[in-house]
Amino acid sequence: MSSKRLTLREAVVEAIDLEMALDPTVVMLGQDIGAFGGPLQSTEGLWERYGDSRIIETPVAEQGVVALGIGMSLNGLRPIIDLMFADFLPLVANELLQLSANLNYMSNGKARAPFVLRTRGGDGPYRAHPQNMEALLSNVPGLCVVTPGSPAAAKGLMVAAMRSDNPVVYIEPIFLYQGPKEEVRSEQYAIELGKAAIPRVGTDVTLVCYGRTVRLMQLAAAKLEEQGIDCEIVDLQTVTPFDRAAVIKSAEKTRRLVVAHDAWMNCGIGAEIVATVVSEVDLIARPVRLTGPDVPTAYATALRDNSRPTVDNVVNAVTKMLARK
Amino acid sequence: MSEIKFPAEVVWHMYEGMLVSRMLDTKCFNDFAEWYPAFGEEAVTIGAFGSLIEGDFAVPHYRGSMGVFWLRGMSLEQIIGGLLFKTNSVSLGRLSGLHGGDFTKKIMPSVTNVLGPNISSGTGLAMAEKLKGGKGVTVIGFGDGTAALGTLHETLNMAKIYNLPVVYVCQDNQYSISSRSNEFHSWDSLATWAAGYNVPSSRVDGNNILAVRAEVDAGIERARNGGGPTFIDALTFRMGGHLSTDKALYQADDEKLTWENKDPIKNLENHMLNELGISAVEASVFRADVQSRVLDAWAKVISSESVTLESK
Repeated sequence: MSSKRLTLREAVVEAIDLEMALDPTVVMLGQDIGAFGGPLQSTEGLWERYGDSRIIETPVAEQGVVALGIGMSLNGLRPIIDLMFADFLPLVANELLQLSANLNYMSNGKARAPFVLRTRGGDGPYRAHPQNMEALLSNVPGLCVVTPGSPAAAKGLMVAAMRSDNPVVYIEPIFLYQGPKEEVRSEQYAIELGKAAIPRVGTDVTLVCYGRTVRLMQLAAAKLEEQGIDCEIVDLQTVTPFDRAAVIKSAEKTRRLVVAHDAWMNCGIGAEIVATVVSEVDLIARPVRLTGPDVPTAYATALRDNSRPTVDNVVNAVTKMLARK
Repeated sequence: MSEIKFPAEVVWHMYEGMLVSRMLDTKCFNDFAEWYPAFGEEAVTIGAFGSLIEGDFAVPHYRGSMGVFWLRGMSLEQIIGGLLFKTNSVSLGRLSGLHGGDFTKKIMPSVTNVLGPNISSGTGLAMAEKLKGGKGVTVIGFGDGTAALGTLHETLNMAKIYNLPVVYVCQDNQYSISSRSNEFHSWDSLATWAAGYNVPSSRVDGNNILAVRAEVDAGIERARNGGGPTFIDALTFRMGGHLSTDKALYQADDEKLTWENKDPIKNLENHMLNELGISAVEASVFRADVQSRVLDAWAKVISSESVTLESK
C-alpha cells in the first residue's frame, strides 16, 4: 500500500483531486482558486487539471456565492465552496444556518443539499484570520462541522464530506496547514463523519480536542507519560454533531476530563462536552476547559500566544487534577 | 391588452390559475389572522410561471406562491393540506402552506423566512443546469422590498458573468409592508437597476397577465437558447395590507381605487369578453366552478388527519 508524507493542506488537496477525478459532479467555487492556486495554496494544481468549468472563480460576493453553491447542490452537483477564511463565516451565516441547515428537515427530505463549505481558520504562522467560529455554527441543527487535526484525518474527512448528502462545513486549521507532515495513504479513503478518533489509548485522564489542539494534546500526553500519567486522547474530528458515545465511553474509563480548544469559552464546544459528560458519568475530579479567553482575538504576538491553550497548560491541569484525588 | 394574442385554451388556463389563487387567498384571508394575500398581484404570479415546462425550476415569492404550486401540478388537496398541516402536506407540516411547495415538482421551498436567499440559491439551480448541459430554465419571483437586498445585486452580477438560464421577475407591488418603494429605493424602475449589470431588463404592466406572460416567455426563450438572464419589473399593486390584520391605512384612498379598477382578473375577463367572444354568463359559471372546487377540496381536507410528531 503506497503512501506519501503530506502536510494537512496537501492532504486536503489530494482528497479533492482524487474525488474530482472519480466524480464529475464535484465542482469548486471560490475566489482566487484558479491560476493563483487558492488562498494559502489550498487548490494547488486543481485548476491546471480540471479547468474553468470545474474550478469556478467567483467575484467577491460571499453571500451570493454560498447560496449559489447551495442551489447547485440542489440540482445534481456536489459543489465545494471555498470560503477564503473563517472570518467570513458570519457573513454567510444566514445562507448556512437558515437555508442549508434547514433544507433536508423542512422539506421532509425532498430537497437535499450535498455541498462542502471549506474554509481556513484559527491562529497560525500566517498570523492573519485567526477567528474560530465553529461554535457559532454548532448551535443550529442540520449542519455538520468538521475540523481535522492531522494530514491523514484531513484527507479521509474531506472525502467523507464530499460524499455526504448533507451540508458539511470543513474548517482547515491554519496552524497545522503547512505544518508537520504525516504518512498519508495514497488511495482514496473516507473517515466516517460524526465519529471521533482515539489517537492515544490511556487510563488516567480523557483529553478531548480537535484541530490544532490534537497535536497539543499529543505533546502534553508525551510529557505526562514521563510522569507516569497515562492519557487517552479523543480527537472529535467532527465537531458537530460530536461523537457522544466515544467521549462518554472514554470518560467512563478514566473518570477525568480535560477539553482544549482555541475558540472562546462562553457557549463553546467545551461547554457542550463537559455538560454531556457530567450528566452521564461520575467523574472523580472537576472537569477542566482550556480555551481562548472571552475577548476578541488580538494581533500582537504577546497578547495572542499567551492566551491560547499550551502544552504546559494541559500538563499543569492534568497533574493538578491527579494530585487532588 | 388586446394586441398580445395567446390561444384560447392558454387564456382559460391563465384565468383558472388567477381564480384559484384569488379564491385560496380569500379563504385564507377570512380564516387566518396571519395570512399574506396576493390580491391584485395574480397576473404576475400566474403570468410569470405559466410557461414553465417539465425540467424547469420555479422559485416563487411567498406572496401568491399557492397559485404557482397549482401551476406546477400540485393538487388543491395537497396545497390545502400544506396550509392546514395535514398528513398529506408535502413537508409533513414542517413548512407553512405558502413556503412549502414540492421540490420533487421542481418548486423551490422557502426554508428560511429571510427573503433573498431564494434569489441566489435559485440562481444556483440555473448554474448547475448550465454546467450539466441541461435545457431547464429557472424563473425566480421576489418582491420589490427584497430587491433592495445586496443578495439580489451579487446574484444579478453572477448571473450575467456566468450567462445563466434564469428569468428574474420582480412582483413589484410597491410596498414593503408599510414602506413605499418610491420613498426607500433609488430607482424609477428596478429594470434600470438590473440594466446596470448588463442584464436585459424591462418593466411591464403587472396587472396585464398577457403582457407579463409574453415578456417572461421572451426571457425563457433567451435563457433556453443560451442567451443568459433576463430581468422583468412587473409593476402591480398590493390590494390590501401586508397580512390579514393590516388595514393598510397608509395606502391612500385614491390610490386604492385606481388600482381596484385595474384588478388583473377583471382585466383578463374583459379581454375574454371582447376578444374571445366569451359571454359574461360563461365567465361567471367558470368562476363559480373554480370556487366550488376550492371549497370542496377545503371541506375534504379539513376533516382529514393532522400532522403529529409521529407522522412519517
